[in-house]
Amino acid sequence: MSRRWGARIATLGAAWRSAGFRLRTLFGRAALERDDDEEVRFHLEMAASRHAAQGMGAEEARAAARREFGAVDALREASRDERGIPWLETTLRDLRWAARSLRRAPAFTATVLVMVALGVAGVAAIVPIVRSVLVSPLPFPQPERLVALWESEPQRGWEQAQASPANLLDWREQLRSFGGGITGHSWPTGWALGGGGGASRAERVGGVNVVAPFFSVLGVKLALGRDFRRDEQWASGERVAIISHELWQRRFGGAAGVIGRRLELDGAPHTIVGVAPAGFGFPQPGLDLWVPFEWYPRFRALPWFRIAHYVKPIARLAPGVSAGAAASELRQLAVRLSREHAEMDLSSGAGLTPLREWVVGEAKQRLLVLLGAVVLLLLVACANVASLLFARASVRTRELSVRSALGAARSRLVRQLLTESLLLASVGGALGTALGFAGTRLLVALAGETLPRHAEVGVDGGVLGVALLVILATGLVFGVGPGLRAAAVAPAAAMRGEGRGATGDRELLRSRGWLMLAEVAMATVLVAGAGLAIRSLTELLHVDAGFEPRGRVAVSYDLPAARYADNAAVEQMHRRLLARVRALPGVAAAELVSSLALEQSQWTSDFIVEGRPATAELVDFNRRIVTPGYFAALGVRRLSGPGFRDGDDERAAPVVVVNATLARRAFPGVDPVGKHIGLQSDSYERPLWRTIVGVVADEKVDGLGRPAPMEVFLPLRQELMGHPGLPLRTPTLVLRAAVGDPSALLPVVRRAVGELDPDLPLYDARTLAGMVQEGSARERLLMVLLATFAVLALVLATVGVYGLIAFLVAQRRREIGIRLALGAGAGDVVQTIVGRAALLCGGGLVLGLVVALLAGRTLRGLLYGVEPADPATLLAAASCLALAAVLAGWWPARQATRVSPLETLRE
Amino acid sequence: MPEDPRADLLQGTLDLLILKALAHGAMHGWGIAQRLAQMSSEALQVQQGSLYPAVHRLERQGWIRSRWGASENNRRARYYELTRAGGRRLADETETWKKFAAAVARVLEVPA
Repeated sequence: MSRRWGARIATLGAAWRSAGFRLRTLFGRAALERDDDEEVRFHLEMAASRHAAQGMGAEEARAAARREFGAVDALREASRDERGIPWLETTLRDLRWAARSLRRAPAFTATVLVMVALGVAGVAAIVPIVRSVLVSPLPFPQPERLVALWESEPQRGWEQAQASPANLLDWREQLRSFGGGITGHSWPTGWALGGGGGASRAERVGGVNVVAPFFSVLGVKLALGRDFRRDEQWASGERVAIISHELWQRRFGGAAGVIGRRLELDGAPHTIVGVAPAGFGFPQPGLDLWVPFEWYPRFRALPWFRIAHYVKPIARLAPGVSAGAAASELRQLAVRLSREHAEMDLSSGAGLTPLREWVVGEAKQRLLVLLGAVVLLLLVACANVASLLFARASVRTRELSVRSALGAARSRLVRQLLTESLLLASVGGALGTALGFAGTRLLVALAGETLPRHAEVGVDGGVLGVALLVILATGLVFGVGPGLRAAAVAPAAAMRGEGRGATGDRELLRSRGWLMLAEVAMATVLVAGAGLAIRSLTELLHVDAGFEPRGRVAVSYDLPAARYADNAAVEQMHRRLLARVRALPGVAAAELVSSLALEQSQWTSDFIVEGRPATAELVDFNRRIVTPGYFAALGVRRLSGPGFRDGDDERAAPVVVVNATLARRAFPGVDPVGKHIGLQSDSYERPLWRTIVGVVADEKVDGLGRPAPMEVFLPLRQELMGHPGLPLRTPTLVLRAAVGDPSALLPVVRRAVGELDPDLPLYDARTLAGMVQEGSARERLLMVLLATFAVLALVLATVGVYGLIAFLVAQRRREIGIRLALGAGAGDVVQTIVGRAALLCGGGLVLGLVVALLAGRTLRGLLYGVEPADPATLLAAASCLALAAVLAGWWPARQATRVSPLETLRE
Repeated sequence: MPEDPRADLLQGTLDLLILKALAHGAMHGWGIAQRLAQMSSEALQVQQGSLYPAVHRLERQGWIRSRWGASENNRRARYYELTRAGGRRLADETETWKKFAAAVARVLEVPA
């Protein structure tokens, strides 16, 4: 027992001593090596003097001593391994060696570093975005249990649409799968926030209406106060609101006593019951207010409450309930509900989607396409760098063979070359990562609202880890091949200069040839993708928006209910304001509209045609309220009928103007002017027939790339004064400038409106030209990014082709000289040299086109007006690559024909 | 990376011989080589250079230590000597080796 312990302690002590010794040797390495050298010298001297004493000559004695001793270098290496911490020490030595040898080849090093940096930068820029948007969980507790619910109505072409309040409430009462609660929210909207908070002035703030309770379903704890109670979704005397952390700081200085304070929203007092935590921005960043929908219990009996789909439901699954089970329960209930309310002729379906996917939506595809593009770019860069390293390794064959002959193990050589590659990858990768993270910020800024969850994008440890992995993988990918190959050269052959001979070179050329082929293929894919994006954007820019954007500017305003109580007051103010603005110099036209084209309207409804039963096609139109001159002011073409007159007021017969799509769908082949239609929203009890007085050209509503919806336009005065319509308190004022920049009108208009009502909030000033441009913002960004990556890939591929052909020519100078001397023509020589390279390029092109055809599918849905397999675009991409390859090969090929036979033969 | 078992055996043997050579007092590398040749009557041919990695390994393991001193011909030379642990190690190893050699010898003397 004690003996064994003693032995253990001895071993432990030895281990300690050994470790300490190894560490000492690591730091005192230079001195140790000098000592070793001296020790060996001493040994050799002693041996030589002994041989000399036995009668050998001095020279002979020294040689014998050396022979008996053996290979000094190998033994020194062995000693080092015995004594040092081999891997660490060797690595440090390899690093120093690599750094020295890279410094000796600055052009090579710089080229490789730039390539690696470019390749890594793309990945480093996109990965944080992909991670934050697609991979990171939503910032709520147990986010995987949160789902978005939706309704579908195939007869209207609605898929994954919002729910109607009546359905949502029925779901909430009858479904058992959502133990965590069902809530919902509206589209983001805005309120005029009155000057309630002390000295602060009126402003317009963004927010959403929600189904109460809201925050507890998400699992978010409020910074202050409480979530809405369930009964607070029903209108009662008291209205409540929850404010953002930011608004709390801004308006109330972060005072704890804010709970219970009054807030005037659109003129109505609301009591603050809670403050959201800092940074909370759901359903979108930057919201300041959450206010319960104002519903009355009697609504539940009204048809519109079940027909109007405007709530986006969110639910939390009960513990242990799978999404599939919940979805099937929801579907069954939806079927039952639509049967129970068969009189509404609805065929509703319903379903659910994980909330994260719902939030990310179509951005996922866009991001994955970009991720694919940057990975391709990185691979092109890697292929190029590997090719360069191959070339470098072949030049250094001799150096490596000498080292190998002196006793360096093959594994050591591979390791050294690998260290060099990893060093290049690390330095280039660090540069690229820094560049990439700057790129991330730039991209997020450029993408703005078109990127969901953009406020959450950030660089963290995980992302840095990914960057590190990418860098290491890069180094290994482009370093291993050349390293193995260089170490495989037989030392003796290399020493005789045959390392540069036929066999080795053929192998080398094969490797580099395949790399070039891959490079050309990948570049072709990228260029084809970029080409498609460019075509798509061009098509989009030529889309007729239906109105003339140039010279027009728009601004919205808000008539608070407190001062403009009824429709008459609202209508009068609209009229006064228009009259005042129209009198301003420089204003050629001023009109009002409930919402502009390209700004998705939230009010859709159904209509009926007099003398016809309600049919499935006549559903889901867009309703807008306009002043009579709207069409002329915006340059919307009038196709038929006289249009609105100034006299279309409450005393005249109800009139409407419809757009071309509605005319075509509801009245195929007939001029609808003079026909009557009724809007379902005001025809529940008995039809209110309106006469069609005009047909106008389509304006794009749901985006430039989408077909125009059916639209009905109602005259403002008639709508406000004659019918039970909602007062239009937040119209958009459209101005046409007589000359020059329309934005110049805005300050003048502000002043003029301020004279009428100094407390009127004017908001969302925008030029129509800017709106049209924003309409293609996503496509533009995608195009710019893909084009950037494609150009980089093209440049890299060109460099690769040039490098290979130049290398070929240099290697075969002698052969070319002989051929020329024997009477070969320049054409033959070029063909011999460049033939194979051209074949490989062609192969790469074909491969690239095939991959582009397959990969093109991933672009479906992102493209407008061009098919992913568009032959013209693919052909253009291929030509682009072919041209680049020819240009890259031309110079070295010409050099080949200039080889002087005499000179090469003399060499 | 001594994967070859034969190399392992040889290495172990060489280590033992070096320790033995140093049992009589401090000695430099050249001296160790001479003593090895002398002790084994030149039967064990060790390439002289391969002595040094072994010596350096023993030093790392703490069985021997080195210091610089003056040689017979008044030159600076590195002397190695046994540490106390090295002395014990030599005794243990010698014991093991004797047992092992005797066992092998018995096996070899048994007629097949």
